Parts: sequence; C-alpha cells; structure tokens
Amino acid sequence: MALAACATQGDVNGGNGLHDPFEKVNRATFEFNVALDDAIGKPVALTYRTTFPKPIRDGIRNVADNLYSPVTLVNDLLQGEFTRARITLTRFFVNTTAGIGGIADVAKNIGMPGHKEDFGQTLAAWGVGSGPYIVVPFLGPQTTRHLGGRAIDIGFSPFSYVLAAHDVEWVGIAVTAINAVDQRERLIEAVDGLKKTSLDFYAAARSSYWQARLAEIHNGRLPPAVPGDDDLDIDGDLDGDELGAGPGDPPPKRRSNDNRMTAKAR
Amino acid sequence: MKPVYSRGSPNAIGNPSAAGIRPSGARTGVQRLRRTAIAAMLAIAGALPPGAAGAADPPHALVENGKSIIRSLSQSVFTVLRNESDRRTQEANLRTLFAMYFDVPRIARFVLGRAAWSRATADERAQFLDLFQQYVVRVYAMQLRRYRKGKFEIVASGPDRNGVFVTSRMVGLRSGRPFHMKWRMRPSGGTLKVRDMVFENVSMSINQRREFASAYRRHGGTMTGLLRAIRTKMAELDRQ
Repeated sequence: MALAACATQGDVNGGNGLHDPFEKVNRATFEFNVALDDAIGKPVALTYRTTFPKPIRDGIRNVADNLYSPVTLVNDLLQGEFTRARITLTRFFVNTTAGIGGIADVAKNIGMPGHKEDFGQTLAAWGVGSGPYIVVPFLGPQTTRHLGGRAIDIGFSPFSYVLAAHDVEWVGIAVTAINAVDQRERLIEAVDGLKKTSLDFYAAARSSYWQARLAEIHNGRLPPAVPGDDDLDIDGDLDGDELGAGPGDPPPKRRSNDNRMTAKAR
Repeated sequence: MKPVYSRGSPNAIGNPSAAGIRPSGARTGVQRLRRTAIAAMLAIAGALPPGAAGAADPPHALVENGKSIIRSLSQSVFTVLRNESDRRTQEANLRTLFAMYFDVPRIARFVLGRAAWSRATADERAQFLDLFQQYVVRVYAMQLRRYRKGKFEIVASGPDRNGVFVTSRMVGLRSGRPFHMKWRMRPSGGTLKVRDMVFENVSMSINQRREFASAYRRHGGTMTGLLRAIRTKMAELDRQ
C-alpha cells in the first residue's frame, strides 16, 4: 500500500524536492507529537542523560547499533555497495567479539566507522520516489517510502526471529524503546534550538528531516543537482544576475557539472 | 582587505563604539581592558582574511585561503563569547563579524526566495536585509553561548564548485555531543565569504529558505506579513 503510494507520487521534479500534500493533517499531528514530546519524550531523555553517564550511554548505543547491523548489511548488499557491506560485516564480528557483545565500538577505533542503511534508502537507490511527506503520530516526520521501508526492515533482522522463537519479543521492543530515548537524548539541544528560534517550527523540522534523510540516502554527500530544482542549490538562485535586480529576473544559469562535493566532508 | 558588506564604514571595525562596544561609564578597568581587547581582535580579524581570492587562484591556494578565513572567524567569535558578558554588546559584535565574513545580501536573497524577492519593493528589501541580519545574529548568539567552552577544529576542506568548503568540528561541549559544521564559501568582493553553514548535513540556508517561504505564505503572502512575523519572533527571543 505504502509502496504503491511511493510509485505513483514520485518526487517533485524527479529529484530532491519533498511533496507535502497533507500539510493540514500533518501540522495537526506535528502539534500532537510536540505536545507528547514536551510531556514525555524530552523529560525521559533528560532523565536518561542525568541517570547514565556518557560512557554508559555510548555503550548502550553501541550495543543497539551492533544489533541493527544485519539490517544494514542486507541493505548494503541490495544497493550493490559491496565495500560498505564488507565493512558492516567486519564491524559486526570485531565489535561482537573484541567489543564484548558490541559494547565497545572497537572497529571505529581501528579506522572502520559505522554507517546505517535501511530499506527506504535501498528503495531510493533503486529509483523509487520518496512519496509524500507524512507526520506519523509518535514516530514523527517520514515519507511513505521511508515508512514502508521500516516495515520491511523488521523482517531483515535475524534477532526478531530469534526473539520470537523464544517468546521474548519484549526484548526487541525494549531495545527499540531504549534506542528511541537515546536518539532523543542526542537531539535535546538541536530540537530546543530549532523550536525556540524558528519562524515556523513545522517547516523547519520538515526541512531538517528531509535534508538529513537525503544525506543518508546519498551516504553523506550532497545529492546531485536536478535541473529546475534549485531549492537545494545555494548557487542556483543567484548565479548570473546582480543583486538588486527587480521583477523579471532572468532565470538562473545552470551549470552542467553536478554539485557533489569533490571530497567527502568527513 | 576591507569588509565589503559591513553596514558601517570599514573603519567602523576598528572603532569600538561603531563596532557596538559602548563606551563604559561606570565600568571597571578590567572590563575596559577586555573591551579594548575585543575591539583590537575585531580590527585584526578585519585585516586577516586574505584577499585576492579570484577565480584564477589555483584551487589549493583558494582552499588554504578559506581555511584561514574560517580559523580567523572562529577565533573572533570565541573572543567575543568569552570576554563579553553583556548580551547586547555580544550581539552587536557578532553582527559585525557576520557582515564581515558572510555574504549577507546573497544569503538574505536566497533565503527569501526568488518569487518573494522580485515582488518586494526596494524599501521592503532593505527592511528585510536589515531584519534578517538582526534575526540571524540573535538566533546564533543564543546557540553559540552554549559553545563558549568548546574547542573548534578544522577537519576537512576542499574545492566546492566555484568556491571552497571547510568542515569544522566542535568538541568538549558541556552538553550534547561533538558536531560537524561545513562552511560553504564563495568568492565575493575580492575575498571568500561564507554562503552557507551545513550543520550535520542540514543546510541552514536551505532550512531558512523553506521556513521563510512557509512563514510568508502563512502570513498573508506579503512582505509586510513576513516582516511582522520576524519582528514578533525577535521580540519573543529578546524576552528569553
């Protein structure tokens, strides 16, 4: 169902734009999520921060990331990213053994930092459009492609089968909950800042979500420019015309080369 | 090199009162000394960004130029944050740095979007430019205060289209985790100026462009509505 929506909606301009046809409903859901976060999400994250010192929080995150790595591995392979798949596999073995069940990220310290892939990113790599932007209660900003991918990813995790076989699915739910709290803890300052200072928190959150998501899809690089889609192009609007030009501005000149960074940022 | 888009004259940078540093009546000697130090720092910073960053420069020199500009900007910002406790003066000093190191007119125009910009009158554009500077500086001054004790380091750099990117990292924060910031710079007025800051893969220019577009639409689709919204937000921030 979600996949069908992806296929029909597509991306605005076939590229980096985000379509928000349900903005009215999305705004209402967003308000609900913000209220919920004020009441529960942020206080829990703050308690988590003050209860557990940073080394313990890092350990918890490392274990959760390690448990997630089979999902990343499957998606690396599905995207044809074999070098990254090898890194994911090596990391899993190194961190599970030398890192004592994933508590320590030993692989990162020997020059093999981790990454995460999900099926939504795989769909993007296969050319499936993002689908419309939707704000999901409890979950937050998503696209239908992202949300549909999440459902598939559950099936990719070997641990979900192991836990189900032993009738201890609650462990999986607990790990998901801890992961959510941990992620929220890491965003306390960023969300506070955005909420306090933005002219339109909804629009700022939507834009932040989509930019971060595009970076994930393109593995940390800026997405390639798409002609006619200059919303993501800091040069596009201004090249070739003078400041102060009035109505009837000439259309911006397009460059033939793409705007990918020539060197990776990190 | 002179600051092309500084709101005052280039000399204003070296002039404490013009740089927003108020003459101190009942201030202590130490405070006065600090103020002089900041004014001197700003003056040096104004002279520091190496000029001649034309398109003919070899990429390597351009990248090195970009790095030294960002380094000098960070030093000036830390000097203001660490030595100046008064919020208003801090903001005034940061506004001077913003005008000096950032291509403010181009950023403002990008953020407003082509449609709104072409519909705006000359007076509305001027108002927007002025208000935008104040708003951005107030927002960042609030955020930056948390990073006073942090350590700034440059971790990557390279060519970026017709300009340069420099990636920095902030570590040693009291709360929150270390973060990366990519500075995208473009030649402007004989030097390189910052056109965008990308905070952990999220471009601030693009975020603001979308946010302003939404605010413009939701406030009647007029510049008057948008300008009023920015003023209201600024007053709200001022109360905090």
